[in-house]
Amino acid sequence: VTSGKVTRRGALAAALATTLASCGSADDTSTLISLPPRAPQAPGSELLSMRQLLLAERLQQARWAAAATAATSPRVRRALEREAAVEEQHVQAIEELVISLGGTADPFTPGPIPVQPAAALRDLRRIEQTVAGAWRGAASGFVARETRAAALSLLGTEIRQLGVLDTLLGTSPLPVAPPPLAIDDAIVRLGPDLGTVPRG
Amino acid sequence: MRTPARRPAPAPGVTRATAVGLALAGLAAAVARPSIAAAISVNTDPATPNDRTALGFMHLAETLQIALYEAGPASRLRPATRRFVTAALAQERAHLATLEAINRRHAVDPDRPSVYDFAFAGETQYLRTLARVEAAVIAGYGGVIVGIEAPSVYLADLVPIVADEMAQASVIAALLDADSPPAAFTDPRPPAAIKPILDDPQSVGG
Repeated sequence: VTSGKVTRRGALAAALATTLASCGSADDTSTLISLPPRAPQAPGSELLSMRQLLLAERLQQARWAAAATAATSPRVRRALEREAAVEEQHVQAIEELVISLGGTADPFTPGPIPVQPAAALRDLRRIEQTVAGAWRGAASGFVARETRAAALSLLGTEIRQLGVLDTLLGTSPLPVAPPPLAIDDAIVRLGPDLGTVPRG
Repeated sequence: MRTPARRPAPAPGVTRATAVGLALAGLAAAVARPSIAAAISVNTDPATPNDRTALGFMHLAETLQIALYEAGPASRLRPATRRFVTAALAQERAHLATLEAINRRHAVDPDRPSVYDFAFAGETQYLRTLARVEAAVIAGYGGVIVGIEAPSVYLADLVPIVADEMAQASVIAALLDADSPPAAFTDPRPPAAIKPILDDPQSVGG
């Protein structure tokens, strides 16, 4: 994924802007879903959730990159590197969203990382499953459209990445979306990997 | 390649209605413990015009997808593709049952569903059509999720449907062996913008 910094940094913002622009056109009488254009805003609880999930995305980025480093097959390494790059886009986009909502991006220090290839993949899948569940819960529960749109977009990528991992691990041929997970529960599950997490 | 012919849909089957009824009855039984049941209040307010349109769009999309998965040229599909089509078809039927239950609960009377008549020469053409439709469906469902006016009423049921579609899209891409860089984000679109694709999925490159 090398389409440049502008694309990476602006990906989520562009997606949101597209949504707002295309859905909120006042002179488009065929518009089915109306969204009044406005500056991004969200309740404080959702901003806190986004800050917490930003750390989870940073954790994923670190783990995809670590799994790529540990991989012995060039094909597997390339696949893992591509997903690490996607996670980098997530991190940057969420960071921008958090800042645009008036929040701050919290520091992240990764914990111990498995170095055995198979263990790294299994550990990564556990983390992906947890984070995807959190995004699914967020997509259902967020009130603000901006955060809901972000959660839904990120959920889609996490599900696809679960499929990538299942393929590499030789498990399920059809990725199944994990059950929704409260963000607090997800943070507890990921606690040992996350380090210090912002609390409300 | 044939343009999908439309003809009136048959009346909803008793079996499907019964299945939904049983599912709801099972759900009710599962939550019938007094301490929990007292806290549950199922919203049955009529949908707003915006939400009615959104739910009607999803009903149309699920009907189309069922038709597509039923139209798979089974004898020309690899075993892995056949297994996926079977699993995906079951998911889509469950989605439609969910939407029909929601529509009944909220007085939504969607357009009469179309019945499509597809023809596919082989697996690649079939998968490409599936990929195109899934991409459109996900974008449109994204618009629905973002724009729904009563999120607390609908999203617990609708988001799982979108998640299933995302999972299906990822498998279709794998079956096509698509080697394009993975997209990082879903791009939600208003349903009106992608409805033409759903109206005639094969005529736009299937």
